[in-house]
Amino acid sequence: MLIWLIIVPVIAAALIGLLKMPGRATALVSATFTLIMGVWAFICTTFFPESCCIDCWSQVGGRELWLSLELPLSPIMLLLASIVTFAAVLGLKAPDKDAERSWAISTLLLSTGAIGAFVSDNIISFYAFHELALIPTFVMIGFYGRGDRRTIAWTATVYLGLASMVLLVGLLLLCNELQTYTFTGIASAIESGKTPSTGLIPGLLLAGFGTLVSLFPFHAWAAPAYASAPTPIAMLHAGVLKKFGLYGLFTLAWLMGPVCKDFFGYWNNLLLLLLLGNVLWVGYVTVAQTRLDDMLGNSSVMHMGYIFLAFAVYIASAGDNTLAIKGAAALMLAHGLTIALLFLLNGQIESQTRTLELDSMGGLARSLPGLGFLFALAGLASIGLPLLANFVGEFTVFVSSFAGWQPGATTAAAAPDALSGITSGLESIWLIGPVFGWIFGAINCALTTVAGWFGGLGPVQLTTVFALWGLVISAVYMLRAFRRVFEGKVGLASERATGLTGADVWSAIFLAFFIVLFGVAPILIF
Amino acid sequence: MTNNTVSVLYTWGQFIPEFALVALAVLILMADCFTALPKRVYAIVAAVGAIIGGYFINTAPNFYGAFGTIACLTTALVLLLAYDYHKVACASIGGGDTEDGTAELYSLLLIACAGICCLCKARDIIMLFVSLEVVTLSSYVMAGYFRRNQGSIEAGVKYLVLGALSTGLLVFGAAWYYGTTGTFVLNAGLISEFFTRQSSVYLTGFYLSVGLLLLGAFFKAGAAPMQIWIPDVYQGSPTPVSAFLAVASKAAGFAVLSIIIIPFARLYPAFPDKVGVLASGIAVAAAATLLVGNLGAICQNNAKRLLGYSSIGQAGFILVFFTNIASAATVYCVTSYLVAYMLATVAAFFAIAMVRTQRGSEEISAFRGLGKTNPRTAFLITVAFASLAGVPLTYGFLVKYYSFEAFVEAMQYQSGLIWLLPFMIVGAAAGFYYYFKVLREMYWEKPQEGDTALKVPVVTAAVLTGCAIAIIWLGTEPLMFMPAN
Repeated sequence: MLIWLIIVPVIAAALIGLLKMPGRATALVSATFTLIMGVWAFICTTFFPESCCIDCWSQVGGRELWLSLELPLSPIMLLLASIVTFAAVLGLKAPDKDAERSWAISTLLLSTGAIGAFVSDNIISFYAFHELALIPTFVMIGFYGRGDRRTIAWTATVYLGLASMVLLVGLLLLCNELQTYTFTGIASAIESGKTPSTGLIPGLLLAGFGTLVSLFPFHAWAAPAYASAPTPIAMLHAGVLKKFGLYGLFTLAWLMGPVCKDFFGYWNNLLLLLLLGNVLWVGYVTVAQTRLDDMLGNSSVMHMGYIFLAFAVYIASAGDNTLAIKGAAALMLAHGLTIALLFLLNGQIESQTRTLELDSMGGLARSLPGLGFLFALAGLASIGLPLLANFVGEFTVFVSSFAGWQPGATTAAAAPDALSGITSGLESIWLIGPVFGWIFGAINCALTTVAGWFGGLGPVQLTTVFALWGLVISAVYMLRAFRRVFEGKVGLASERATGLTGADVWSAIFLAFFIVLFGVAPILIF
Repeated sequence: MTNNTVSVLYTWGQFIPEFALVALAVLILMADCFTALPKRVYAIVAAVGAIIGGYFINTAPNFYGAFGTIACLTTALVLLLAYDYHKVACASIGGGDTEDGTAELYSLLLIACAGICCLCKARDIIMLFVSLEVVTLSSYVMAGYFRRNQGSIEAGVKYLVLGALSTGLLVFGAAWYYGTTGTFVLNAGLISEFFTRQSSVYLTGFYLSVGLLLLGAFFKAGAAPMQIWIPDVYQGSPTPVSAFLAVASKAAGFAVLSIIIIPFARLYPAFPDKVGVLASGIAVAAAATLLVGNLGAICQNNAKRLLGYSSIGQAGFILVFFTNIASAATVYCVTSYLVAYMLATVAAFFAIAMVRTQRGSEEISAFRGLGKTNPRTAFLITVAFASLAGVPLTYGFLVKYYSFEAFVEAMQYQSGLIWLLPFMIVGAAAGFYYYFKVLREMYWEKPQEGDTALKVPVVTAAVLTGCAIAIIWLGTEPLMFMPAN
């Protein structure tokens, strides 16, 4: 069954590319199919887990597939991918017929890669599908991107290529140690008492997955690439494909259960510092942007910090804190929908005003009130306004970090997430071991000391307190952008606005519908 | 794959495919002299002969025959390439439209192919050497075959001089091997006996002999430090010959390497130190090869030269299999890698030949705008280069993954090899950069004025399509479906 999610878009892409079928129409047929399958799979596995036949999903024609929906995050990520794909294809608007065909092909391949990764049980195909999805990104940015597109495309290729290799080695070392090459196999290996060695492997995994999710300080490729990419590519990459890294980390941690603290724990305090870099550093960088696309790209990088926070919470609680993983899932879904909508509107604003400089726009809401309303909705969702999907995710993540914590009851050293007793496993490596030992000693010492000043907050709680400031930063840049684009005096560029077509409006409304739906009825994703 | 350590005696009957190939080569020479058939026909006849020969090559009992099968298949594809390249060949051999002297190339290819097939059956150094010389001598002639082309002459001479050096090293190694062990036979039992019996003086001589033999094999395989000839010879040789050197000749090199190294595989548990030295030596060569090949390729602008450096880089990944010295699956992995490499490289050479014939240039920039003018062909070329780069869901990715896996396995019992890892990562990442240069040229550049769509010959179209389908099918199937059991 699941294999049709991969075969149908590939066939559609082949029909468009080789037989010159009309791009958008063919892609729309395929995306509709994906949407139906995705929603059905989600409903089936989430609400009727007993009567839903998992085997039916993971078999086709009597042959067993390396694909399944058994992992906890698979259905929700599949849902996200299918919604965003549909919206991206519906709102696809290329400069000419030829371009439309290549845009449609890339959109389909990118979404297929993402979906393939999210439903893979085999770890190598999980990795392979993601890599495959990077190719259309690279080609599309290089050919149709804005600004200095070739440099941006090469930068992204080098960053992501290196990160993928590091990740591959990490995954291989892990698989080799546990003698299994599937996710379900890892779970049963852990159950039977095997423990993966710490130190190098989780470090490689965090560096590899982290770069793919634009974790500070490996984020330099992301914002320019999103800003430059054509609209559907930016929607799918920032909204869906980037979640691959977080999906991988959470899935591994979930499969390892209590062992995950020993496995990733050594790196947790470093991760806390880095994610603060995402939230605060990149947050302030976002405030300083003068173009709408750059601002959206940076904001997407910034919001990854919250999901990494959920990961750190989950690790620190040794897999006990189910609220963290639920919050992360909700936030990934919400952020994917929101950033996709924002990039979609970004593309429409550009096609109306032919510029994305914030200074030359203004008063756009007068001629296009509908666009203004949708942008405001997406912007407010991105800030985390209640009753919109992001609020659910962010709120849950913040709450989860204080789960089990009582004011004054613990000292910093005895906080539930203190990392005493976890060794790096790197000591034996020449030069690297001592250097890492020194750096980590300093970080741990600093965090514990600062935590001590705040009356028994552990490192995780402390980080959460700092990360909360990110909400204010988001509000500043998002509301400022809204004011400069839609309100005030009608700018020169805004006078060019003519009006949106039906497809433009509907694709945006489609995404907005889900943002509101999951906001008012979070029960659907919990 | 089984029974790697026992040397096998072959009967004359098992050499029938090799003899048949040579007989066909002689037949083509005779027919060329005494009949007036158009010369291109011989290419087709020879290709069919090579395929049939490859089908009957016996891969049992130690799987070395697979190298021969790869060589036969490559030869057949190269002959088809020569069929399409006929016009350039005529101009560069006889000058003008005369066909004189083109048919010998086809029979030389067959003879070299027969040499590789014999090589796989070698159980001692004498046979190894003789078969290897059959390949090498035919290759010297073929590299310099376009006698009206200065580059080809230069390639022929360079190959001859450096090839003679490597032959010398091989012979010297064989002499030392005989001197220390008292036999020419390569087999695990003998080596095991030697390790237990002999003093350290003999051991030094033994390592020297194995090292020299390895250098001879490295020359054919295109591994550092014997890789110097590759870029110049590939660039200068006629394109079909470059393809042959890049794939079949490399397969011969790795066949030699397997024949020398594999007997040590079973000895690792008994003599971890003595065999481990060998693995470390190969690891050093692999690291150097990865570095030279992949970094050298980054700045290339000539497509054939790029493939030359790429062939060095790929050889580095194949060498990594041999660092996993205790593995029983090495030959299987190496031949898998060679198949993936063959499918992609032959397709790439077909593309280069087509572009050279119609646009008159072998520079990467000659591929400009193919994405616009020939979208279908451009896609097939993309698949080939993506496979070389190791893009997932192509066979090239899967074999590169096998290489990493072999390294990870080797780490389990030789953790000191960890330093090889950065070289592999840098090599694989660099591959993405330089192979994508061709794709960039095809999709990012617009066609220049006067660039018309390429006319794709039928044979080229068929081979490109076949290779692309094979690359994708072999690359996706193992990741999509569980094994039957």
